[in-house]
Amino acid sequence: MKKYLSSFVSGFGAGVLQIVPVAKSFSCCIIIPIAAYFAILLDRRATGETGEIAMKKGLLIGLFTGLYAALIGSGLEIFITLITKNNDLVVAYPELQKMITEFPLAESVINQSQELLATVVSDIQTKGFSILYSFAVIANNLLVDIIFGILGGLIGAQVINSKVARERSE
Amino acid sequence: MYRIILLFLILIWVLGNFSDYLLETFPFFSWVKIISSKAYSLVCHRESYKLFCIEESCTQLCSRCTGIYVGALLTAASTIMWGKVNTPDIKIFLAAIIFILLDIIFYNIGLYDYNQWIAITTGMFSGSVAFLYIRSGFEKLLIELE
Repeated sequence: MKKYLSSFVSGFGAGVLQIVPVAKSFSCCIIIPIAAYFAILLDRRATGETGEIAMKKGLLIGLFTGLYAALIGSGLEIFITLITKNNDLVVAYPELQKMITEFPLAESVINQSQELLATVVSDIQTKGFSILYSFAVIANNLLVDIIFGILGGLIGAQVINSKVARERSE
Repeated sequence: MYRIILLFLILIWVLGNFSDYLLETFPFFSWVKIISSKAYSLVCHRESYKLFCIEESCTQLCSRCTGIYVGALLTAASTIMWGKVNTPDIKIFLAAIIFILLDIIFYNIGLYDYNQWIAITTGMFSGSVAFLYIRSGFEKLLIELE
Protein backbone atom coordinates (compact mmCIF):
# COMPACT_ATOMS: atom_id res chain seq x y z
CA MET A 1 0.00 0.00 0.00
CA LYS A 2 2.72 2.46 1.06
CA LYS A 3 4.66 1.67 -2.09
CA TYR A 4 1.73 2.84 -4.19
CA LEU A 5 0.52 5.66 -1.94
CA SER A 6 0.93 8.15 -4.80
CA SER A 7 -1.33 5.95 -6.94
CA PHE A 8 -3.90 5.90 -4.15
CA VAL A 9 -3.88 9.70 -3.76
CA SER A 10 -4.14 10.27 -7.50
CA GLY A 11 -6.59 7.40 -8.02
CA PHE A 12 -8.80 8.76 -5.25
CA GLY A 13 -9.06 12.12 -7.03
CA ALA A 14 -9.80 10.41 -10.35
CA GLY A 15 -12.36 8.14 -8.68
CA VAL A 16 -14.21 11.13 -7.24
CA LEU A 17 -14.17 12.90 -10.62
CA GLN A 18 -15.66 9.77 -12.21
CA ILE A 19 -19.00 10.48 -10.55
CA VAL A 20 -19.10 14.22 -11.30
CA PRO A 21 -21.75 14.63 -14.06
CA VAL A 22 -19.79 16.49 -16.78
CA ALA A 23 -16.31 15.30 -15.81
CA LYS A 24 -17.28 11.62 -15.94
CA SER A 25 -17.66 11.82 -19.73
CA PHE A 26 -13.89 12.37 -19.93
CA SER A 27 -12.95 10.03 -17.08
CA CYS A 28 -11.48 7.13 -19.04
CA CYS A 29 -9.58 8.87 -21.79
CA ILE A 30 -8.43 12.04 -20.06
CA ILE A 31 -8.80 11.91 -16.27
CA ILE A 32 -7.33 8.42 -15.66
CA PRO A 33 -4.20 8.89 -17.84
CA ILE A 34 -3.60 12.34 -16.29
CA ALA A 35 -4.08 10.81 -12.81
CA ALA A 36 -1.48 8.16 -13.68
CA TYR A 37 0.94 10.91 -14.77
CA PHE A 38 0.38 12.84 -11.52
CA ALA A 39 0.87 9.63 -9.54
CA ILE A 40 4.32 9.21 -11.13
CA LEU A 41 5.17 12.85 -10.33
CA LEU A 42 4.01 12.39 -6.72
CA ASP A 43 6.03 9.21 -6.39
CA ARG A 44 9.16 10.96 -7.65
CA ARG A 45 8.63 13.82 -5.23
CA ALA A 46 8.11 11.42 -2.33
CA THR A 47 11.14 9.26 -3.15
CA GLY A 48 13.35 12.15 -4.30
CA GLU A 49 14.17 10.45 -7.60
CA THR A 50 15.50 12.75 -10.30
CA GLY A 51 16.73 10.30 -12.94
CA GLU A 52 14.85 8.57 -15.72
CA ILE A 53 11.91 6.40 -14.73
CA ALA A 54 11.67 2.76 -15.82
CA MET A 55 8.71 1.85 -18.02
CA LYS A 56 7.92 -1.04 -15.69
CA LYS A 57 7.51 1.39 -12.80
CA GLY A 58 5.38 3.75 -14.91
CA LEU A 59 3.20 0.81 -15.93
CA LEU A 60 2.74 -0.39 -12.34
CA ILE A 61 1.94 3.08 -11.00
CA GLY A 62 -0.56 3.55 -13.85
CA LEU A 63 -2.10 0.14 -13.18
CA PHE A 64 -2.57 0.85 -9.47
CA THR A 65 -3.91 4.36 -10.16
CA GLY A 66 -6.52 2.83 -12.48
CA LEU A 67 -7.31 0.13 -9.92
CA TYR A 68 -7.82 2.60 -7.06
CA ALA A 69 -9.81 4.99 -9.29
CA ALA A 70 -12.09 2.12 -10.36
CA LEU A 71 -12.67 0.89 -6.81
CA ILE A 72 -13.27 4.37 -5.38
CA GLY A 73 -15.39 5.52 -8.34
CA SER A 74 -17.49 2.33 -8.21
CA GLY A 75 -17.87 2.54 -4.43
CA LEU A 76 -19.06 6.14 -4.62
CA GLU A 77 -21.45 5.38 -7.47
CA ILE A 78 -22.98 2.44 -5.57
CA PHE A 79 -23.20 4.55 -2.39
CA ILE A 80 -24.93 7.45 -4.17
CA THR A 81 -27.36 5.00 -5.82
CA LEU A 82 -28.08 3.59 -2.36
CA ILE A 83 -28.94 7.03 -0.99
CA THR A 84 -30.80 8.52 -3.95
CA LYS A 85 -32.38 5.27 -5.24
CA ASN A 86 -31.75 6.68 -8.70
CA ASN A 87 -28.96 6.55 -11.30
CA ASP A 88 -28.20 6.73 -15.04
CA LEU A 89 -29.64 3.25 -15.61
CA VAL A 90 -33.01 4.19 -14.08
CA VAL A 91 -33.11 7.38 -16.16
CA ALA A 92 -32.25 5.53 -19.38
CA TYR A 93 -34.57 2.58 -18.63
CA PRO A 94 -37.43 3.47 -21.05
CA GLU A 95 -34.92 3.99 -23.87
CA LEU A 96 -33.09 0.75 -23.02
CA GLN A 97 -36.36 -1.21 -23.12
CA LYS A 98 -37.05 0.13 -26.60
CA MET A 99 -33.47 -0.61 -27.73
CA ILE A 100 -33.63 -4.24 -26.56
CA THR A 101 -36.75 -4.90 -28.68
CA GLU A 102 -34.87 -3.65 -31.75
CA PHE A 103 -32.07 -6.22 -31.37
CA PRO A 104 -32.15 -9.09 -33.91
CA LEU A 105 -32.57 -11.72 -31.17
CA ALA A 106 -35.06 -14.50 -30.41
CA GLU A 107 -38.20 -13.29 -28.64
CA SER A 108 -37.48 -15.44 -25.58
CA VAL A 109 -34.03 -13.85 -25.21
CA ILE A 110 -35.52 -10.37 -25.56
CA ASN A 111 -38.15 -11.15 -22.92
CA GLN A 112 -35.54 -12.53 -20.52
CA SER A 113 -33.33 -9.47 -21.04
CA GLN A 114 -36.24 -7.15 -20.36
CA GLU A 115 -37.22 -9.07 -17.21
CA LEU A 116 -33.64 -8.91 -15.95
CA LEU A 117 -33.42 -5.19 -16.65
CA ALA A 118 -36.78 -4.59 -14.97
CA THR A 119 -35.60 -6.50 -11.85
CA VAL A 120 -32.41 -4.41 -11.66
CA VAL A 121 -34.30 -1.13 -12.06
CA SER A 122 -36.95 -2.23 -9.53
CA ASP A 123 -34.24 -3.20 -6.99
CA ILE A 124 -32.57 0.18 -7.39
CA GLN A 125 -35.82 2.12 -7.06
CA THR A 126 -37.00 0.20 -3.98
CA LYS A 127 -33.83 -0.82 -2.12
CA GLY A 128 -31.24 1.43 -3.77
CA PHE A 129 -29.05 -1.59 -4.39
CA SER A 130 -28.76 -4.30 -7.04
CA ILE A 131 -26.04 -6.96 -6.95
CA LEU A 132 -26.04 -7.28 -10.74
CA TYR A 133 -25.78 -3.52 -11.26
CA SER A 134 -23.01 -3.22 -8.65
CA PHE A 135 -21.07 -6.07 -10.25
CA ALA A 136 -21.45 -4.49 -13.71
CA VAL A 137 -20.25 -1.09 -12.44
CA ILE A 138 -17.19 -2.57 -10.69
CA ALA A 139 -16.29 -4.85 -13.63
CA ASN A 140 -16.68 -2.06 -16.23
CA ASN A 141 -14.70 0.47 -14.21
CA LEU A 142 -11.93 -2.01 -13.42
CA LEU A 143 -11.51 -2.98 -17.08
CA VAL A 144 -11.48 0.52 -18.52
CA ASP A 145 -9.62 2.33 -15.73
CA ILE A 146 -6.84 -0.23 -15.53
CA ILE A 147 -6.27 -0.19 -19.32
CA PHE A 148 -6.21 3.62 -19.49
CA GLY A 149 -4.18 3.79 -16.27
CA ILE A 150 -1.50 1.58 -17.84
CA LEU A 151 -1.49 3.65 -21.04
CA GLY A 152 -1.30 6.85 -18.97
CA GLY A 153 1.57 5.38 -16.94
CA LEU A 154 3.53 4.46 -20.08
CA ILE A 155 2.99 7.85 -21.72
CA GLY A 156 3.58 9.73 -18.44
CA ALA A 157 6.89 7.94 -17.85
CA GLN A 158 8.07 8.95 -21.32
CA VAL A 159 6.97 12.56 -20.81
CA ILE A 160 8.99 12.69 -17.57
CA ASN A 161 11.99 10.97 -19.18
CA SER A 162 11.89 13.46 -22.02
CA LYS A 163 12.00 16.35 -19.50
CA VAL A 164 14.88 14.70 -17.65
CA ALA A 165 16.83 14.22 -20.90
CA ARG A 166 16.25 17.88 -21.87
CA GLU A 167 17.36 19.14 -18.45
CA ARG A 168 20.51 17.04 -18.67
CA SER A 169 21.38 18.33 -22.14
CA GLU A 170 20.94 21.94 -20.93
CA MET B 1 5.14 -9.34 -34.13
CA TYR B 2 3.74 -7.18 -31.33
CA ARG B 3 3.29 -4.33 -33.82
CA ILE B 4 1.05 -6.57 -35.93
CA ILE B 5 -0.88 -7.61 -32.79
CA LEU B 6 -1.36 -3.93 -31.88
CA LEU B 7 -2.51 -3.14 -35.43
CA PHE B 8 -4.92 -6.08 -35.38
CA LEU B 9 -6.43 -5.04 -32.03
CA ILE B 10 -6.94 -1.45 -33.15
CA LEU B 11 -8.38 -2.67 -36.49
CA ILE B 12 -11.00 -4.80 -34.67
CA TRP B 13 -11.88 -1.82 -32.46
CA VAL B 14 -12.21 0.53 -35.45
CA LEU B 15 -14.27 -1.99 -37.49
CA GLY B 16 -16.64 -2.37 -34.54
CA ASN B 17 -16.97 1.41 -34.43
CA PHE B 18 -18.09 1.40 -38.08
CA SER B 19 -20.37 -1.65 -37.66
CA ASP B 20 -23.43 0.44 -38.58
CA TYR B 21 -21.87 1.21 -41.98
CA LEU B 22 -20.75 -2.38 -42.54
CA LEU B 23 -23.84 -4.34 -41.50
CA GLU B 24 -25.63 -3.74 -44.81
CA THR B 25 -22.83 -5.48 -46.69
CA PHE B 26 -21.84 -7.88 -43.92
CA PRO B 27 -24.86 -8.95 -41.77
CA PHE B 28 -22.39 -10.35 -39.22
CA PHE B 29 -21.79 -6.80 -38.04
CA SER B 30 -25.29 -6.60 -36.55
CA TRP B 31 -23.98 -8.99 -33.86
CA VAL B 32 -20.78 -7.02 -33.52
CA LYS B 33 -22.90 -3.91 -32.98
CA ILE B 34 -24.88 -5.52 -30.15
CA ILE B 35 -21.82 -6.91 -28.37
CA SER B 36 -19.62 -3.86 -28.85
CA SER B 37 -22.29 -1.29 -28.01
CA LYS B 38 -21.64 -1.62 -24.25
CA ALA B 39 -17.87 -1.68 -24.71
CA TYR B 40 -17.93 1.61 -26.63
CA SER B 41 -20.17 3.27 -24.05
CA LEU B 42 -17.46 2.57 -21.47
CA VAL B 43 -14.95 4.78 -23.25
CA CYS B 44 -17.15 7.45 -24.86
CA HIS B 45 -20.18 9.57 -23.95
CA ARG B 46 -21.72 8.74 -27.40
CA GLU B 47 -23.92 11.82 -27.50
CA SER B 48 -26.07 11.42 -30.60
CA TYR B 49 -25.26 14.79 -32.18
CA LYS B 50 -21.53 14.11 -31.85
CA LEU B 51 -21.58 10.76 -33.65
CA PHE B 52 -20.13 10.72 -37.15
CA CYS B 53 -23.12 10.01 -39.41
CA ILE B 54 -23.47 9.54 -43.15
CA GLU B 55 -27.12 9.25 -44.20
CA GLU B 56 -28.63 6.97 -41.52
CA SER B 57 -25.47 5.14 -40.52
CA CYS B 58 -23.53 6.43 -37.54
CA THR B 59 -20.32 5.47 -35.80
CA GLN B 60 -20.59 3.93 -32.34
CA LEU B 61 -18.09 6.43 -30.91
CA CYS B 62 -18.21 10.22 -31.08
CA SER B 63 -16.35 12.00 -33.89
CA ARG B 64 -13.33 12.81 -31.72
CA CYS B 65 -12.94 9.27 -30.41
CA THR B 66 -13.41 7.97 -33.97
CA GLY B 67 -10.60 10.30 -35.05
CA ILE B 68 -8.36 9.14 -32.19
CA TYR B 69 -8.71 5.43 -33.05
CA VAL B 70 -8.57 5.94 -36.84
CA GLY B 71 -5.44 8.05 -36.33
CA ALA B 72 -3.91 5.30 -34.17
CA LEU B 73 -4.83 2.68 -36.81
CA LEU B 74 -3.31 4.64 -39.70
CA THR B 75 -0.15 5.31 -37.68
CA ALA B 76 0.07 1.65 -36.63
CA ALA B 77 -0.17 0.58 -40.30
CA SER B 78 2.34 3.25 -41.38
CA THR B 79 4.92 2.24 -38.78
CA ILE B 80 4.72 -1.38 -39.95
CA MET B 81 5.23 -0.32 -43.58
CA TRP B 82 7.99 2.23 -42.92
CA GLY B 83 9.77 0.37 -40.15
CA LYS B 84 11.42 2.55 -37.53
CA VAL B 85 9.51 5.73 -36.71
CA ASN B 86 10.82 7.96 -33.92
CA THR B 87 8.59 9.09 -31.08
CA PRO B 88 7.69 12.74 -31.71
CA ASP B 89 8.91 15.55 -29.51
CA ILE B 90 6.97 16.13 -26.30
CA LYS B 91 5.89 19.56 -27.62
CA ILE B 92 3.98 17.86 -30.44
CA PHE B 93 2.24 15.63 -27.92
CA LEU B 94 1.27 18.65 -25.83
CA ALA B 95 0.13 20.52 -28.97
CA ALA B 96 -2.16 17.59 -29.86
CA ILE B 97 -3.81 17.77 -26.42
CA ILE B 98 -4.04 21.58 -26.53
CA PHE B 99 -5.81 21.47 -29.95
CA ILE B 100 -8.48 19.19 -28.48
CA LEU B 101 -8.90 21.35 -25.37
CA LEU B 102 -9.13 24.53 -27.48
CA ASP B 103 -11.80 22.96 -29.71
CA ILE B 104 -13.82 21.89 -26.64
CA ILE B 105 -13.50 25.37 -25.10
CA PHE B 106 -14.30 27.23 -28.35
CA TYR B 107 -17.52 25.41 -29.16
CA ASN B 108 -18.61 25.43 -25.52
CA ILE B 109 -18.26 29.22 -25.27
CA GLY B 110 -20.11 29.55 -28.59
CA LEU B 111 -17.22 30.74 -30.77
CA TYR B 112 -18.43 28.21 -33.33
CA ASP B 113 -20.85 25.27 -33.43
CA TYR B 114 -19.68 21.71 -32.79
CA ASN B 115 -17.94 20.60 -35.98
CA GLN B 116 -17.45 16.89 -36.64
CA TRP B 117 -14.54 17.47 -39.02
CA ILE B 118 -12.62 19.59 -36.49
CA ALA B 119 -13.30 16.92 -33.84
CA ILE B 120 -12.13 14.12 -36.16
CA THR B 121 -9.02 16.01 -37.29
CA THR B 122 -7.90 16.98 -33.79
CA GLY B 123 -8.70 13.42 -32.65
CA MET B 124 -6.67 11.87 -35.47
CA PHE B 125 -3.67 14.06 -34.70
CA SER B 126 -3.68 13.20 -31.00
CA GLY B 127 -4.46 9.53 -31.70
CA SER B 128 -1.44 9.27 -34.01
CA VAL B 129 0.93 10.93 -31.56
CA ALA B 130 -0.45 9.02 -28.55
CA PHE B 131 -0.07 5.73 -30.45
CA LEU B 132 3.61 6.46 -31.13
CA TYR B 133 4.14 7.14 -27.42
CA ILE B 134 2.26 4.01 -26.36
CA ARG B 135 4.12 1.85 -28.90
CA SER B 136 7.44 3.32 -27.80
CA GLY B 137 6.45 2.68 -24.16
CA PHE B 138 5.74 -0.98 -24.91
CA GLU B 139 9.02 -1.31 -26.84
CA LYS B 140 11.02 0.13 -23.93
CA LEU B 141 9.09 -2.07 -21.51
CA LEU B 142 9.92 -5.18 -23.54
CA ILE B 143 13.61 -4.21 -23.58
CA GLU B 144 13.53 -3.69 -19.78
CA LEU B 145 11.87 -7.07 -19.26
CA GLU B 146 14.47 -8.81 -21.42
